[in-house]
Amino acid sequence: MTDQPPIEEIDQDAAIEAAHHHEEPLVRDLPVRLRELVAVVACLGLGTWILIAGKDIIVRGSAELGPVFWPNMLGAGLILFGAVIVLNNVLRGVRKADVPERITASGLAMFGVTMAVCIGYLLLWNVLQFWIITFVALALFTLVLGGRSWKAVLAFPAVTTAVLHFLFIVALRVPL
Amino acid sequence: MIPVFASPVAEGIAAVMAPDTLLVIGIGILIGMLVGAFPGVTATMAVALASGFTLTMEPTQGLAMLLTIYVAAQFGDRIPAILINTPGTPASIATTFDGYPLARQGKAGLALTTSALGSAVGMICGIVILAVAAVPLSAFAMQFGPAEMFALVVFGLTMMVGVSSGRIFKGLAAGAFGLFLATVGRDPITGDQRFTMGILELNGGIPFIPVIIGFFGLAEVINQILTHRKGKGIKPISQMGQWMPDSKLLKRLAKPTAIGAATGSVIGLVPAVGGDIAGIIGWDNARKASKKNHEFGKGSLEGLTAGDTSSTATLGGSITTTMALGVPGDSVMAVMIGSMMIWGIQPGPGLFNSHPDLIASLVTILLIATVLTLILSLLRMKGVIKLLELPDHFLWVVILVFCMVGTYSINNSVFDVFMMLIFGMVGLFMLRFGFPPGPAVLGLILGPLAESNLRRALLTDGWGAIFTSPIAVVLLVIAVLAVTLPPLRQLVRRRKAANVGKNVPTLQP
Amino acid sequence: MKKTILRSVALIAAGLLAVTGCSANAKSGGAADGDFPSKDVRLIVPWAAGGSGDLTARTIAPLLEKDLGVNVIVENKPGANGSVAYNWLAEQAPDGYNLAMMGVEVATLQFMDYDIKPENYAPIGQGSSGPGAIAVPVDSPFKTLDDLIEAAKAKPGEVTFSSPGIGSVWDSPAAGLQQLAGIKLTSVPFDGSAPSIAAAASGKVDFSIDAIGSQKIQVDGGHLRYLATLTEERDPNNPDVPTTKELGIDLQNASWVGIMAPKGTPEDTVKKLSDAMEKATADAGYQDVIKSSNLVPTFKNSAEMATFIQDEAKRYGPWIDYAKNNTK
Repeated sequence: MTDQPPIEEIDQDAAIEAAHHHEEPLVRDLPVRLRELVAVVACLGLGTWILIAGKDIIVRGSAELGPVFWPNMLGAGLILFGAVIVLNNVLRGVRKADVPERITASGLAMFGVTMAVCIGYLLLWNVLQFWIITFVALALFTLVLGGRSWKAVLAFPAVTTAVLHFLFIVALRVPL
Repeated sequence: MIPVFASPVAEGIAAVMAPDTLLVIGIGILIGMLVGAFPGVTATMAVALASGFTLTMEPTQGLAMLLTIYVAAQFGDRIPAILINTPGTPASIATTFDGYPLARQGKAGLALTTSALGSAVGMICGIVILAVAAVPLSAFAMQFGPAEMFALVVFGLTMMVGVSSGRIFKGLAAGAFGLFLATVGRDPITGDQRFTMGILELNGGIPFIPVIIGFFGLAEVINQILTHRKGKGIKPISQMGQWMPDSKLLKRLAKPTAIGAATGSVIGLVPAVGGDIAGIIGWDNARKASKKNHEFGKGSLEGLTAGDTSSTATLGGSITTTMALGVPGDSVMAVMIGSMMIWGIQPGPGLFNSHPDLIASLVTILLIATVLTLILSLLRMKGVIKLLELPDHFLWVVILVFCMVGTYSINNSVFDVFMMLIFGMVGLFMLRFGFPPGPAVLGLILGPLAESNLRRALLTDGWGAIFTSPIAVVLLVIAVLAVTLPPLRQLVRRRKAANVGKNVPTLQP
Repeated sequence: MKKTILRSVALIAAGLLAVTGCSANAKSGGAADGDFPSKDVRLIVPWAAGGSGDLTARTIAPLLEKDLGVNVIVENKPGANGSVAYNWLAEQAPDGYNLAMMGVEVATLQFMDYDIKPENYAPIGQGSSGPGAIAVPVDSPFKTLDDLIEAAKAKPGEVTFSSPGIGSVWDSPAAGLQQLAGIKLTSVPFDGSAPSIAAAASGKVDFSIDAIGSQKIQVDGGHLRYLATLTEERDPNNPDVPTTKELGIDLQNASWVGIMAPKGTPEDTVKKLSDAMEKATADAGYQDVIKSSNLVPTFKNSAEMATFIQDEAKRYGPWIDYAKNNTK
C-alpha cells in the first residue's frame, strides 16, 4: 500500500495531463504515416465490397428501408471513415500510444507454426479421439512457444488434457 | 413496503432457508464460478445444462440452483477478462477495457477485488429493485416496443465514440464493421440471405461469442507471440501490489458505482437486453461523468467498477421483466422460462398474484448467492492469480486451447472454432492498425436490435411510430445530447483552464 | 511452489479420470442388422438448449433408454434455423443410431432456399403439438374475428399482426387467413414467439397468431383475449373460444415436434424406434412435462408422420410464397 503515491498527488498529475491532453505530440515519421494507408485500404475495400455484394440481396415489397438500406449505409460509412482516416492519420500523424510494438522475426515464426498446429488440430477434431489430438497439440504448442524441459512438453500437456477432459466431457457433457 | 411478517413473505424466505436448498445454492455457486471463468462457456449454457437435472427437483431448489449459477457466473467471468483480456461471458466485455490494463500495470489483485465488490453492489441494487418495485416497473418494461427499442439502441450506439479510446474515426469504422457483421445471415424481416456467401452456417448469422473470444483473447495472445523477444525482462503482471481498496479509493469509486448501478438497473428492465450492453453503457456513462476520463480504457478503477456494477445490476431487472411479463429479460432467463413452466410457475402478468411468496424466495436466493459468491471470490483471489505466475508460453498455450475448446462447446461446432480463429486474425489486424475492438463488439451486439427494430417500427406505423412514442423521443434526445455535449463541455473546460493559466482546477469533489 | 501446484493438479486430475473413467468415449462396437440397438443412440436437437423442443428431447430420451436398453445421448446442434442439424443428419449412416428431433421446418425450409428435403429423412414419430389461436389486445376494438376481417377489408394492409419470423410456423397460417378471408394484412416479424406475443399484448400490433399455450401467459395476465382457435374442435381448456372453422374460415394449424432418422434406415429399426416412442409418449411423466409446457402430448407413428409431413409441405409452400411476395 505504501508503494503507491497518495491519491491527491495522482489527481493533480492527472488534472495537468488532462488539461494538456490536446497537445499530445503526434508521430509524423513517414513510414508510420504510410503504414496507416493499410487501415485506409481496409476500410475502403470492405466498404466497396459491401456495396457490391449488397446488390445480390433480394428486395421484395415496398417497405421503407428494405433489406439493403442498412448494409449500404454501413458500406458508405466505411468508405467515408476511410477517407477521413487519410486526412487525419496519414496526412497529420499518429499518436505515440497508437504505434504498435514491433513484430520480431522469431515471433513471426512462432505465430506461423502455432496457426498451422491450430488448423491441423481443428481438422482432426472430429476424426481422432479428443484426448489424443489435444495432448499432441498441447505438446506441439508448448514446444513451439518456448517450453523445452520434459515437464513442459510432456507433463504440462498431460495435466491440461486431463483437466479439459474432465471439465468439458465429464462435467459439461460436451460431445468432443 | 411489504410487511415482513406477512405470511407469504415469511414462507418464501423460510422455503429458501431449508438446509437442502442452501446446499443446492452452494453447488450452484461452484458451478457458476467455474463456468463463468472459462471463455466460451456462458451462464446461458450452464443454466441450460443444469435445467436438465433440476427438472426433478422441488421448484424452490431448482430455482435456487439455476439462479445461483447465473449470479456466480457473473463473478467468475471477470477473472479471465482482467487476467487474460478474454471475457468469460459476454457480460464482462466492459471489464476488459480497464481490467486488463490494470493487470498489466501490476494491479491485478486490486482490480479483481474492486471488480468483485462492484459486481456485488450492482447485484444487490438489482435485487432491491426486484424486491420493492417488480410489478410497477414491469409495466414500464411493457412499453418497450420496436420504436422504443430502436431509440434505446441508437443511444447505445453513441457509446461507440466513448469506447474508441481517442481514435474516433477508426472507432467509428470499427463500429460500422461490427454493425455489418450483424447483418450477415437472414434478413430479420424478409428472411432472405444477406452476405452468406453460400456458407450454410452463416444463415444463422455470425456467431457472437466466438467473435468476442477472437477479438479480445486470441488477438491479444497472438500479438504477444508476434512481438515476443527473448529475455524481454520482467513480467509486470505478477506484481500484485495492493489487494483491498483503501477508504480514499472507495470514496472515489462511490460515484462510478452509483452511475453503474443506475444504468444497469434501468437497462436490465428492457426485455432482451442484458449485462453485455449495460456494462459498456455504464462504463461510458461513468467516463463522461468522471473528472479523470482520460484514464478510462488505460486502467481506470472507476471504469472497471462502473462497468461491472452496471452489468450485474441488470440481473434484478431481467428477472423482473421475465417473471412479470413472461418475456425473457435476457438469454439466461429465456432458458429458465422453460424450466419454470415445468415446475408449474407460469411467468407472466399473473405470476405475482398467484405466487405471492415467490418474490420473497427469489430475493432471498439471490441475496444469499451474491453474498456467498462475493466471499468466495475474495477468498480464492490469491489462488487465481497464481495463473499469471506461469511462464509466458504456458499461459499462451492454456489460453489458446481453452479458447478453442470453450468455443466448440457453445454449439458443438467446429465451424464456430474456425470463426474464432478467423476473427482472432481480424482482431489482430485491428490491434496492429489501431482499430479499437470495443466499438466493433458494440456494433455486433446492437446491430441486429437496431436494424430489425427500426424496420419493425416502420412496418407498424411508419416514421410516426417513432416520433409519437414519448420514450423513444426522450431516448433519441438523450442520444443526441450524448454525442454533442461532451465535446462542448471539454471546450468550455479548456477555455477555463487556459484562462486560469497554470492554476489547474483541483479535482477533489 | 509451482511444482507443488502442478503436482497436486495432476493428482486431482488423475483421480477424477480414474473415478469417471472414459465413459464418454463409448464409441466402439459395430452392430449387426437384426439386433438393433446394440450401442448408444445419439439424439440431435436442432435448437439451442433450453427451449420447449429441447425439453421434449431431454424428457423423452430417458424413456427411450428404458425401452431400448441402451443410452440415448442428447446433443444440441443449433444453427441456421435447424438446417445445420438436418443437413448433418442427412449425411449420417442410416442405421438408426443417429436421430434428430424435428419440427415443421423439415417440411418448410425448402421454401426458404434451404437445401432441406423431407424425402431425405425417415420419420420415427410425433411427440407433441401446439395448436394455434388468434388473440388481440384486451382493449382491442375487435370483439370477434369478423370485426377483424371487416376492418382489414375496409383498410387493406393497415391491420398488423406479429409473427415469430417470416416462413415460421405461425407467420404462414396468417398467409392462409389472408387467402381464405380475402384480406390483406401487414406482417411484423419478430425474433421468436415471446417478443412477438408481447408486442401484441402491449398493443404495438393489432393481433397475434401463435400457439394457444404461448399466448396463454398474456391471456391469463389480462393483456390478450382469444378471438378464435385454429383447431378442428374447440380447445378443451378454452371452451368459450370459437374455432375459425365455426366462423366460416377453415384454417387449422399447430406447431409440432417429432423424431426422425436418415433416409434408408431399415424398416424394422424404424418400427422398433417408433414403438419405443409410442410407449414413451404415453408415459405419465412425459405427459405431465408436455402439458405443463402448454403443449398437447400427441403421437403419430412413422407411416402417419410420412404422409403428415408431405401434407404440411403442400400446405406451407403456397403460404410461404404468398408471405414472401406480399411483404410490405
